[in-house]
Amino acid sequence: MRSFRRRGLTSWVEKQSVRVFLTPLIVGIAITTLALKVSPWQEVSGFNDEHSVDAIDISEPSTERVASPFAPSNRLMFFNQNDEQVAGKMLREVDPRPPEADRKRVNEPGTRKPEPKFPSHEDHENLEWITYGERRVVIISDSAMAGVRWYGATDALVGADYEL
Amino acid sequence: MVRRSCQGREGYVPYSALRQIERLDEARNHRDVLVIATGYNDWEGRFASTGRGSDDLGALMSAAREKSFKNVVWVTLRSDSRYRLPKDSPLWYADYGAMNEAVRSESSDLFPELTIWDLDVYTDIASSKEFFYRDGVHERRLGSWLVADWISRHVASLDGRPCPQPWAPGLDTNESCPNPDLLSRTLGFPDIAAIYGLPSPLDADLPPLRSPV
Repeated sequence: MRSFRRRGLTSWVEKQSVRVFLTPLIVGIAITTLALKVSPWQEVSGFNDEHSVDAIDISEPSTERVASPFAPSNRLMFFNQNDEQVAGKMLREVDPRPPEADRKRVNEPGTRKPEPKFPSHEDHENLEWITYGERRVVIISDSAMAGVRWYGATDALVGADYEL
Repeated sequence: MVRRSCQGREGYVPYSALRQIERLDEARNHRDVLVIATGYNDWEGRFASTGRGSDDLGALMSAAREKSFKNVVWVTLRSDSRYRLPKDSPLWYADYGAMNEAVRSESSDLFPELTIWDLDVYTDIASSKEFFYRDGVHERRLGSWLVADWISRHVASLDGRPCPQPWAPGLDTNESCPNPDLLSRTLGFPDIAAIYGLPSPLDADLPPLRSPV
């Protein structure tokens, strides 16, 4: 009898232990699942997540790309984890670069001498109008044209008859 | 252009071109010009759909119309480039030539207010390292002055004003500045270093001026 009671008590203790162990596990899985469901939406609406929208677009059905004007169709790029290369277009999974030791960051002007300085544009979010006589011009550019500012070439934006 | 930009080397994430247009004041009159000179971090897949005007290009043009711009200029992208797209892009390299073609094909029909300034053609002999870095996109000192000078010539051309500078020292500034894209086909580049008193390039591999045809 005592032995039976002990077994019963042991069994009850074991069940409690399992419950204690499983409960946080189940709650943890639930939270993780919820977080995974919510995070894509947060990425889309997130303001500072620089590439999140692009990343989500990649996984979407590529109906937009099907409608692309860039014929022939082998110009189109369909994101597929199993594709290594599509019609001469390298996917991100295929690194066309030489071995690490030989890599050079070709997009970085700083790899060339003399190294240009990149002063931050203090008021970078407000575009400046350039005035040519009665005509105003505003230029939306990226770093490709930023040399105009970096190298002081804004002087060439001032025409002989105009003032900035 | 339309989506959130990548972080630039200046340490901030700039607004997209679309957001920038939305933030602009309304055009004051028909003379105000909006120049769109970006797109190197985008790629051709969703840039334009011929005849629909419903994607990135269409979104920018719609925003420009909302701001009452009667003059919108598109600067073509340099197709002779090795610029690598931001790391989270699906492609390593974009086909800027295809993007340029899409703009050309849509400019006359869907967007008559859109004018093309063809930097791609203008600089097609500018592979020299004196004008652009090795990626073919970012301007070096001479390239920066070349492009700024080119913009001023275009604006002068719009107004029929004299060119801001002669094509080379000693030449006259045209009474009515011609479209530099057309002029460069016969004359090559303006002599930027001489015109603006810049240090002469150390390397002597600048493309020579072409002989007038």
